Amino acid sequence: MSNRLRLTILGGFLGAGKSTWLRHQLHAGEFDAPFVVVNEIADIPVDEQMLGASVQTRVLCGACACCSGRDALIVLLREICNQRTMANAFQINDLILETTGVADPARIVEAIQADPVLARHIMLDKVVVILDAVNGIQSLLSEDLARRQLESADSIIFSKVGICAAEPLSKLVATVLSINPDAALSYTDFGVEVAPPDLMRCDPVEIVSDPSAPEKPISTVVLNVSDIVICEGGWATFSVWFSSLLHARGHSIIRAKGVLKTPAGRLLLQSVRNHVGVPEIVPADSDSPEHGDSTFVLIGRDFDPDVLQASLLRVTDAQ
Amino acid sequence: MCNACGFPPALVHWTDAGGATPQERLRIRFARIGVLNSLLAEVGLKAVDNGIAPGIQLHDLSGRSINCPTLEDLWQGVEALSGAPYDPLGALTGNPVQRGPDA
Repeated sequence: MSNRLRLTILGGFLGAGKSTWLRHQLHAGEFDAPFVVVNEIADIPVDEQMLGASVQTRVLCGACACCSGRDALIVLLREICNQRTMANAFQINDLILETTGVADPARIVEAIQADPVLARHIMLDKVVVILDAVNGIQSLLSEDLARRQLESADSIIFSKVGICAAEPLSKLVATVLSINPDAALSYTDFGVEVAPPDLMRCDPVEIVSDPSAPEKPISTVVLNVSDIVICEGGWATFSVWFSSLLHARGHSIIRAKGVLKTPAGRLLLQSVRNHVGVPEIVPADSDSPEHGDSTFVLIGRDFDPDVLQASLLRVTDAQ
Repeated sequence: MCNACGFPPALVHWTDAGGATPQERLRIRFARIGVLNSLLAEVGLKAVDNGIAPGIQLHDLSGRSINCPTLEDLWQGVEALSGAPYDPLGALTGNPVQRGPDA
């Protein structure tokens, strides 16, 4: 039996539910002696705080491992392999790489397999791609990357199934099978696997990529809200500002997330497109309290960071 | 069901998650109305929250009003009463969001 590390690459578009799924798998003990590498496109890591302190985690932030952060990923993986082979090393059997929402898993696989050291130490177990059952069709129609992510998947997991009606889910499944007929499909809600729903007979939605109309690049903006969200008035200001931004320009915001200090505690606030989930309270004794505190990350298109920050300050001054 | 507005009880909206105690939540509501009114004055609207009835009442200068259970509903109400979405970036970019008739 090979003693190589088993690598699971976890992909999926922005806001698909990668961290939620991973958190449940770790809680349920689905991985053997796991080590998690979280890659975040923003400079400020947020997702690792969802995983808590119960698992060995490293964060690679500020670059995407499939392109600009590829070299940093190779260095990090070599370091993990090196530590594993040393005396008194910590035990790792399963290595999980949670990619950014804008990563193409196939390019990460290529990079790892092309490295002579990693190829001897790491065995690719599977590529898991999470697909948002509610926003999946919209992502596939508007983002060529979302389609490429599905093409490279061994296993496709539909998330948020509980809030998706039968007909749109059936269309999405038919569309996914037309893109990757070989992948194993499963269905989850809050990361927990649920029974396959009764699907209707549907034709797939035609996904057409139009290379003549290149999309504006996805960019990341990190807002500093540490001076704002520390009192009741600060939270009121931020919630007024962000809700108005989502209403007016939600079409340009693909994903937003951040940990904000409020009177109720440290709130993990996340949105996918213009839908904001109920915030979770992050424990105060998180491993990295200095990171992600009252910073807010917006991922989308057509944003000027200075205008966003000035807009937030303008609302703050109005308080 | 609230006998003041007729709204069925709703799950906590994300904008109401910032306060842990009833006192904090009430202070947030009053602070929010202050911020809202300083912004909505630009478009001739006024928001009212008396701290007792749930939600926010939105009024325009002609006397029309809309009850808004959440901030999300409030921005839809602002668009309905003023004819355009309130764009927090609009004044800074000089290019506020416009919606077509089909939007």
